[in-house]
Amino acid sequence: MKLEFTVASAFVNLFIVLILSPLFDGLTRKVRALIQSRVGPPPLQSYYDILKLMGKEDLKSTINPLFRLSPYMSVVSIAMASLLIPIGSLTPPLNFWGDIFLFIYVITVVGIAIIITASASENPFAYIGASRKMMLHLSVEPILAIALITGAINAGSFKIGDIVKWYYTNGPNVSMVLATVCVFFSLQALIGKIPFDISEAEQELAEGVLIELSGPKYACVKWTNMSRQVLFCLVFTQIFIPWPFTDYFLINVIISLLKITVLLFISSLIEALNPRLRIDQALKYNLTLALFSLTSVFLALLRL
Amino acid sequence: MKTLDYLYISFVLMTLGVVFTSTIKNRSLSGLITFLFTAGASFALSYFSLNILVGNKIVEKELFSLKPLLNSSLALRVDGLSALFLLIIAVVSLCVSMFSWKYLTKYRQPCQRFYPFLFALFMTSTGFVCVKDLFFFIVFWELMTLISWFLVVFDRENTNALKAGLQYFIVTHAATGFLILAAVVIYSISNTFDFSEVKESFYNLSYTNPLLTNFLVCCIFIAFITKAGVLPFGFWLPNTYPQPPAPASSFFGGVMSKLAVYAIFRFFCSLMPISSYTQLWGFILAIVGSFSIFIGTTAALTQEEAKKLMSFHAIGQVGYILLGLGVGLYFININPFLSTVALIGGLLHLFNNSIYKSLLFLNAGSIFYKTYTTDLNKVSGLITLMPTVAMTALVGSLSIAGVPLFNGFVSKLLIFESSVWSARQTEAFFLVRGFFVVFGIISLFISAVTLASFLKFINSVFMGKLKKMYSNEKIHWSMNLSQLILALVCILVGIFPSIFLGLVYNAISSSLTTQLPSFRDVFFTDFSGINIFFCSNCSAGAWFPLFIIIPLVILSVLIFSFEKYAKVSKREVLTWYGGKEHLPEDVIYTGHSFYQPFKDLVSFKIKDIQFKGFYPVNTPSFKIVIPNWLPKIFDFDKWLYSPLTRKIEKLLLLFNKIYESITKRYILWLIMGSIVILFFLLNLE
Repeated sequence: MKLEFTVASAFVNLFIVLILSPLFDGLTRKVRALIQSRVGPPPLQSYYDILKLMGKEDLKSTINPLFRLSPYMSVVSIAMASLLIPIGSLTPPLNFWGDIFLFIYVITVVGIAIIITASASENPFAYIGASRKMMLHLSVEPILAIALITGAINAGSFKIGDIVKWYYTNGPNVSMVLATVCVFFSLQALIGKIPFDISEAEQELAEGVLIELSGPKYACVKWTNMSRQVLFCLVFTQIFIPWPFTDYFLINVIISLLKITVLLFISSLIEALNPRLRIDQALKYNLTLALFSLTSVFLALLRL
Repeated sequence: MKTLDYLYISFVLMTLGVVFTSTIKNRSLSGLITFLFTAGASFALSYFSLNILVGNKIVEKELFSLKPLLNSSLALRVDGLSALFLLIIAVVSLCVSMFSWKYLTKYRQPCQRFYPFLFALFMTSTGFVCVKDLFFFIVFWELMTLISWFLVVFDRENTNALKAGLQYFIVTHAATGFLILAAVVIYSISNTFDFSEVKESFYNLSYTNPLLTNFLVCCIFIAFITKAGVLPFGFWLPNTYPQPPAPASSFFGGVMSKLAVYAIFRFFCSLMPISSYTQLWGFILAIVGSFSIFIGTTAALTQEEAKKLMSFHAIGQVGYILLGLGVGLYFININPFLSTVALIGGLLHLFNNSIYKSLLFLNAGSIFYKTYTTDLNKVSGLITLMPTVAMTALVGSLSIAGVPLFNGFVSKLLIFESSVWSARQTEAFFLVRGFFVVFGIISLFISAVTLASFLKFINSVFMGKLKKMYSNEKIHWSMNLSQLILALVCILVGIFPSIFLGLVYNAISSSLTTQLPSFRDVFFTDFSGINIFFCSNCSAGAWFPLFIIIPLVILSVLIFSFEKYAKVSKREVLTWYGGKEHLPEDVIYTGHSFYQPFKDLVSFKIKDIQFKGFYPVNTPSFKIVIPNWLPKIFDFDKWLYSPLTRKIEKLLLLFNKIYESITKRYILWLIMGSIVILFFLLNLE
């Protein structure tokens, strides 16, 4: 693989996941507002929010050095995770440098960064949020892992690029379809939206993990959450539904953007029409789904 | 100087250490001597072991023989596997002794009860990995168990420690009984204790008498698995490991439980031939390993005491090692590539685990040193008092959770990938492959549970509000330094895995009975990372930490310069409790509250036994019903002695009555008697 291609596709991935994510967030806000018969903010509102917060006063409730560092770490690790997803071509920019387990762990690091931020802030609400966030992660991570492992067993490689290539050329089989369905059912939990926004529940926890954040730190964590939406939508559309696909880099990028828009539209429909789950309900839902998705592994073992 | 001389030097230094520390009463001086002597010994040891590991050498020497008495001799044989363990012992013992220099000032007990035993523990564990004779193997093993028992009951006023010590003593000796049984049977067959002869007799036995072979393997398996703390045999471990002072528990968790795994490696990889039952026992090892991964770690999530939490994790982490070993042994004939990856993963995880496990126990020790407690509900906000400890604890926690760029990730990656890859080996039975994949998924899930439980540890101990003021006494530099060294090793292995993978490969290949594919074929490595091959010429997995660091650094610089550019004003404020005024103590979120819904989900009750995280909290009370006649049989008093004595007494009383009667009757007796005698005499005539 050429270096120029790596750098170019890395920039495209970073651009979509980091720079375009507030736009997608604005879109979902608009959709949600329209469903709830409101006018809603302009599509660029999320950019304005982030820029405004960047200039706001930075309030510190603690002298803990981790409180200062970890919000920025969350943005960095989201960016790292985005480098492992194929967008413009079938191989992601960092395909040579890591595999599915690296991807799963990099996503975990995003959670760790936010949890440490929350607990370093010394606020009990933030603690409750952190505890819930960890539990959600604990229950939802196996589903994604099992789906990726199903792909790995089918493709005979742990590299995301090889899995996508195999999936694209061989077409869907029973096990991969099952894995895809399971990932779709857990998507709302992965991106942390209603009914799974339990760790940031405004009404009961006053934004939970975000409660003590302000200024640039708050902007960073907000940005992370927006980017996480786009990231997991990309995971779903690019790894589990890699069609349609052309030989041209730019057209592929545009197709993937369209796919994310559709997916985000569905996700914001779910968000607007559903109440929030309690944490124990969410845990049961996710763990049951994880147990169910084990069947996809067994189907993959049978070469189905 | 010959290479073996370094081993002698370290032994002499440790012996001198025992002599000095058992005579000196001054804590500080005794601690300093411990540190200095162990430092010398561990430098010599690490030079010795690296020399062997890098050069892929084998050193053998017979020291003395018990020939006329017993066909056994104290023979040393240091190959790659032993050298790897010597390296672990050297690193951990250095840090442990450095830590214990000042640590023991917090205890009232005399220091002669601690330092000499610590030295003796270092010595016996060094001897244990070096010998090649089954008899001395057991001797060192038994000595190690005894000495560690003395350390467990160090705090004699604590009834918990005494109870745990008793349990430890009984369980480990029962396990040693199995080992001795196996050794005696082996001796009766091979007539010698020498490992090379034992190996041959195992080879013959596996053809002539497979049943006996399996029985012997089972005995050895139970003996070592009990000491390693693998569930269900490791139930003693969470009670025992928290009891001794932190440096000792650090050595227990870091080295001693791993020495049992060394013995398993030694027996299964280099003493037994690769045959049909290798597969069976590989599968059993994997099952037992995943069982203890799952139960041990979920139980750890429910713990609220730092050292106990870590002890449960010791159980879970040993499971990972055994899973790697089991997958490796199962596929050694089917796919040597996969088996190499799994074995290396298991052994590298052992190395990593001993580093971060001892680091975490030392962290718990530092917490105790400052606050006199390790209860997660009682301490909080310690990061302001001891930032170094907090940072090293964070490194240790991220390592044990297997976060990328720390050492746990590399070894866990190899274990996950090898157990998932077994799905592709169509030679194996379908269900077996399914089991291995499920084990891989369990270990991946449990990895997240590990992270959760250590985030709970970090969050409740170091984060949050400081509860009360502690003494201003600084933590001594030696304690900080020992933790820093271990944390640095964690990061070093995480960033340059290829070097350590090479060392571990040497260790495995020098001790295994069969030939493995060469290192270059399995791992394509350079300084930056590794590419993993599960068959010739198909790269299936990869991990290049140095290339990950490049974008990481670039992105971090970008983000931080962004913050600098924004130039926002900063202000310190009070914590916001939703508009109400509270004292920090009122609204503190303790370790108990963490993950409560999840804990409820994994806790249940079956009859009288309460399970917490699938682990029984209260052991069922066994009531043995004794039939009524049984005690009666043994009650000799009741049915034999008392009736008999009563009878005799009555008889005597009767005689007594006769004797005590009045004179008239006496005379009557006399007359009657004389008449009788007269009759006799008359008749005779």
